[in-house]
Amino acid sequence: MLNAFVRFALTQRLFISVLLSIALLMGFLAWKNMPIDAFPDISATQVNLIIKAPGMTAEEIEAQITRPIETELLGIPNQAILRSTTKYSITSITLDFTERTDIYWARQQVSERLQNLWGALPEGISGGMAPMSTPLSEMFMFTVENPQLSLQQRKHLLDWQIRPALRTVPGVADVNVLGGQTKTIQFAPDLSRLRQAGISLDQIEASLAMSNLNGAVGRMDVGTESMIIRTEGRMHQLEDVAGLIISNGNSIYRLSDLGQLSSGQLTRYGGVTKDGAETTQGLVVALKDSNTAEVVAAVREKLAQIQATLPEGTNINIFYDRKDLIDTAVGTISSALFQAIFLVAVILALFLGNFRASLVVAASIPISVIFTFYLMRQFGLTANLMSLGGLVIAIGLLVDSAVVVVENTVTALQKDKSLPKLHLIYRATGDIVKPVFAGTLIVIVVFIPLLTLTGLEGKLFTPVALTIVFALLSALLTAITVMPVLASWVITQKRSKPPKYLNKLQQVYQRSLQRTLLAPRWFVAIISLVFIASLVLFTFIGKTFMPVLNEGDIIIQLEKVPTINLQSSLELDKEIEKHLLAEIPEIEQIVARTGSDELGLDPMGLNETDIFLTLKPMNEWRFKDKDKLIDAMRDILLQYPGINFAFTQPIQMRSAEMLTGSSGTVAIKVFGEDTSVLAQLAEQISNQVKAIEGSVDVQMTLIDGGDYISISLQNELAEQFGLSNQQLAKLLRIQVDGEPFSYIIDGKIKTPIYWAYDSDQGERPTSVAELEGLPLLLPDNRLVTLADIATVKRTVGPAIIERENGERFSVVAANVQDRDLVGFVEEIRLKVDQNLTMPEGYFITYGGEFENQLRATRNLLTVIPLVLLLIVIILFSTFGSLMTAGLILANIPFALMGGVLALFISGEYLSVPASVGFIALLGIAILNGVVLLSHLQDTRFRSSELLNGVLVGSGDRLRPILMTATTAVFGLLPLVLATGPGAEIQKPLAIVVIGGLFTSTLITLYLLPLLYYRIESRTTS
Amino acid sequence: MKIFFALLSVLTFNNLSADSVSLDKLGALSLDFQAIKQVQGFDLKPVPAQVSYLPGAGYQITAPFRPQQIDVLVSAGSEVDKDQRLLRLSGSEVHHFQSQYASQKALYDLAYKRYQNNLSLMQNKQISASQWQEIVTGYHQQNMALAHFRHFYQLLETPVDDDEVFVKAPKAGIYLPPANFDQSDNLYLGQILARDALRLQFSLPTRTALNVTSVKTDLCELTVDQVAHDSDGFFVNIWSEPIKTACQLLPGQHIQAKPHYQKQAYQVPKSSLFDFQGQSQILIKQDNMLTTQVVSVIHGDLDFYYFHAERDLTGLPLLIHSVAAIKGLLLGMGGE
Repeated sequence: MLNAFVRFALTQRLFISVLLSIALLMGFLAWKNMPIDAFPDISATQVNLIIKAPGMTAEEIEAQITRPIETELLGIPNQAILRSTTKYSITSITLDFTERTDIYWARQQVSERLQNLWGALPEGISGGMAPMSTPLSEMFMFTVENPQLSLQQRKHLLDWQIRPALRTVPGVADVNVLGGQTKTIQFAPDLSRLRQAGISLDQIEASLAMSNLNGAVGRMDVGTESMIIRTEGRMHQLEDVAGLIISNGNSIYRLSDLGQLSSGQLTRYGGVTKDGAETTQGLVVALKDSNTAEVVAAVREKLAQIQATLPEGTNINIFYDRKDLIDTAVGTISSALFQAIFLVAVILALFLGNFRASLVVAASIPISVIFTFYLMRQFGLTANLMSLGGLVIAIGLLVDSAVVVVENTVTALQKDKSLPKLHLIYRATGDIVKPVFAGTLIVIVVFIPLLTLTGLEGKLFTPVALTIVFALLSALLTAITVMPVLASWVITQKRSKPPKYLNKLQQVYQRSLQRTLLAPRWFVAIISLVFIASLVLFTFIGKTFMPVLNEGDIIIQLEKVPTINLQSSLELDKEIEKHLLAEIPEIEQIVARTGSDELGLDPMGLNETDIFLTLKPMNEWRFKDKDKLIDAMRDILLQYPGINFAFTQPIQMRSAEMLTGSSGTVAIKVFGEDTSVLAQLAEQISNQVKAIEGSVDVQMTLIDGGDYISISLQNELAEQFGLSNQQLAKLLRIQVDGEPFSYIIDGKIKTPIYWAYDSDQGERPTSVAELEGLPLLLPDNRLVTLADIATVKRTVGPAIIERENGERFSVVAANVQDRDLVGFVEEIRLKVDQNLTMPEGYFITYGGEFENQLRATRNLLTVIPLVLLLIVIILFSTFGSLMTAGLILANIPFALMGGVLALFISGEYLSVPASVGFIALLGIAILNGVVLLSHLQDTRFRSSELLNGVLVGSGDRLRPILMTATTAVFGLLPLVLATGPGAEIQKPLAIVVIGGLFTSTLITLYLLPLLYYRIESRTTS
Repeated sequence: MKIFFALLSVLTFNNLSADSVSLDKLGALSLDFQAIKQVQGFDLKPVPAQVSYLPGAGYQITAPFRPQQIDVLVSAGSEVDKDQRLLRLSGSEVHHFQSQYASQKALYDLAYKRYQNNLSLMQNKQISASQWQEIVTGYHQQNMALAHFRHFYQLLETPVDDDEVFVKAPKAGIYLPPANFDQSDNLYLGQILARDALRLQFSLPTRTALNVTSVKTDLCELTVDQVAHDSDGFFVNIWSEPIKTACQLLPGQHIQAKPHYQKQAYQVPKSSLFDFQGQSQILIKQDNMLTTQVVSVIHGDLDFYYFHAERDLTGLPLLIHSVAAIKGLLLGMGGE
């Protein structure tokens, strides 16, 4: 059947050419239209609920909102994990579903259950499902700058001009607004006047509700017309509200007679600073599965359109654009790809010594790559660091088939000039099509374990494996169809001599092989020694999940005392920002975000700040790498005692939060009920972790530290005055935090009307004494102060409550520096087990990236033996000999030792990419073994002497084996040498393969013939 | 978590001793200090106040009849001189009143003449005691009846028209007409307040009122003159001294006024206060150390807190910047 392919191609060369042109065009179009992103979509199917409950403490929200919702959600099928974080005024509940759960189905399930429960939840809450985004959807950030505009005006622009416009961009889930001040209309009731007038707050609310609306009447026929009738009452501006008429039964009053009506601003739960000054920020959140590059381009285009409509002097300052990372990272990989193609083409020319032949083989690379793009597009893969990395890995492998076909063709054409050229090409290709197919099949099978990976590692490495498989299939198809056709046109039957250096090399090889075959002791001793050394060194190699991708930007996370207010928090941020800007010239700009965002997607506390640093190009740096730059920043931050800090990057931070619910590569969670005990245990664990070598950024959730002022209504007085706790809370809310009770609509602008504290009376209460002196108008129209009817005291309670699958926990998160992740976690486990006694009902779990590493290792260790068995079957069916199959497999451990040595020497860790490298190495080692042994078997009986047969056979295969190895080495060399962001991920892989190829080639060229010689000698004798 | 232990130590050991931090440990934190100031009092938050007068301070003008029309000739609250025209009363009732007055005067004159005529007869015992009693009673009745009319009549300018009269100001002062002319027989036509009868009146919680010594408006400061000795339960009424002209306040005007609370206290910027171990504290520089000091806050305004302390803090250097970071340090926070 394979021969039929070759025959068809050679007999229908024009048709194949046309087909090739069409395929190339489609492949090219697929490449042009392929979504480009930095990473594959690594997020699980996730639904996030954000419920805002103004004024409620974490404990109250947990009891009244979080628990009931969690209980309801726990019944949904296909869920993987249910997490929640409850803080003052807000709860965020995240439900992760199992892989391949449809997001729309998941959202519908959550929506239905939430709707069923909503009526039973406390009044006054708001929120619901967050936009359909992933934690990595924050792909475009900007600030609105204009020194002429106030913070309120800038936020107004963002809220009502920029945000609505950007939301129309396809792929944008929402635009989160941070910082600035939100305009409101505030009504501060004059309690004395209300008392005199005998009008209650409820009456005002009711009057406004009844007046501030348009009513529908119906239609009326006027002559031949039908006119729509409506009543108009909707208020549009502050003056309309001021004129609201309220009656006490005897007299009428305007609202402005009863208090102070003014423009104000909402209480802020967060702020944004840029280079030490406050500003306002927009954050574009992309829809799940959207094409990031396209969305960013469309957002930029829309912003350019909006720019013209903004007030003069307004500058939209873009400080984060995921496209930059995509361009840089994909650029690094693309550059490596082109370099690899060039190097491989040069190597081919050098080895083949036939310019035309090398031209034909070199042509197979772009053809296979373009076919691969077509297949990637058809299977929904995006062009990203991982998939393009897979393609770079495949470059060295995909020429092998073409090399074998073309080399055999050249040999056949030069040997026999009597037959027609096409016939010779057909025979030459037909002779080796089966081993080529088997060889490709073996390499494809080798990559099967990667397709079995689950979780994050599966999401990251499935594209790698699929791309390699697609590339190899494309290469195979090219080798047996396009290569013969191209060879028939390009390669002549003119005899060309192999390059002299190859002949020389062959002679040297054969002499050294002969010595090895006859006196193998020293060779075996050295190989054994190296093998043992590599086994020993393997234990010293650290293990980690993935190398950290250098995203270019840096985020510094600050954590201040949990009770800090916004102003003090911002002051400290500004101070640190100015210091960083003054001391670190590598920083282009700093944008820091403190507290919660408007949508509540990331409900940080007022004590938490993410400082986003945009850096200048590296050629302007004083330091050679980012680590040194971070060290310089660390020195500055250490000068600010009392503030915790940690370094991370935008995607790294969100990935870690997605995996563990907290930032940090290792998360140790203590589960239990009592928040005080949880806090105590977390503190002890934190101390243990800090003492371990390599631990940095050790942070723990500050569960305790919620300082409250508790107000208890005196029951007797409450009864006497007809005042309930709910009413008291409302009366106080009005004067402390404000409370919305209506809104006005002016065009597209909706402005809330708030009950507020009278600004004429100074600031809102800022001490317990002032709170006690607050005047309150009771339902019986009596004016009292709070201290008259209630007792006020300070209490403490949890500031934050985190839950996982319905249980409370506290978390200690840490990053690891200069050591392996798995060893680090093992040491933590040991220390915690030794030094910590867990109370009854409390237990610890370990999470983070290392979990993925362990799971990946477990999966690979399960699947690889099965794959080896499959390879044995393929080898057996190819050679018909278990012994030969066994010989090839015996080659593998020795081949891998080069990879281990290379890892050790380079200082890289054993990560998932390195494991992929070992897998690729496995394939190449087997392929080389097949190439050599199949030829040795062919030449075995051509010579009367076994030794001579082995020497001739091995000598014959020196060139293809060296070519395979060298093309693979040079194909991967650009990845090792690449320094740009994006190269880090695939570098361990390339190092393993290159290192492994040295030993693998040596083993193939010497050990395999030796073993074959020994076994055959014994069989013969 | 450190917070937990800090709180735990407070709850279990009641450890209120001061904590200290060496200035050498504060790295690049911006440290600003300000001397603690002692003040003798402070302004409370503004309260609603009204320009009013003590009960009974007004001279009330009433009319013995109800005219058909009343024209107020001066604006409410304006200052008037004695005998200045205040009102014009017109209508047939005015004519009736004049007729009544004339009739009454005639009756009085008659009774007076009879009284005078019979006085000598009574002295000569020419008439009986009972007759004399009848004459005297009649005379006094007419006199009283006339006086009732005459008191009002004296406020009137000499009528030029039977149906129209002008009411004059009985004294100099501020004329306050009624909101509505009521329907009673004795018609209330307003009152004249002495200039110094106008006071600023406001209410304060009972426990606060006694320490309030003055009240500030936008243009002037008035000392407190009277604090009511009765309460409506939670608030008491307070009256200022007579309103000064400089205050530019109108009778009945509602304003926001700041009562001044007389109490010795320390005044510190708001940025200097923090909560630690369940109490309000400040950080005072002593030599090379920052030491915590527990304080008891009694009031706060836009920029400052006012507090008591157990020791004299006057003039001591107080940390007013980076306080939250120092608290973090006290709680064991900081570092990577």
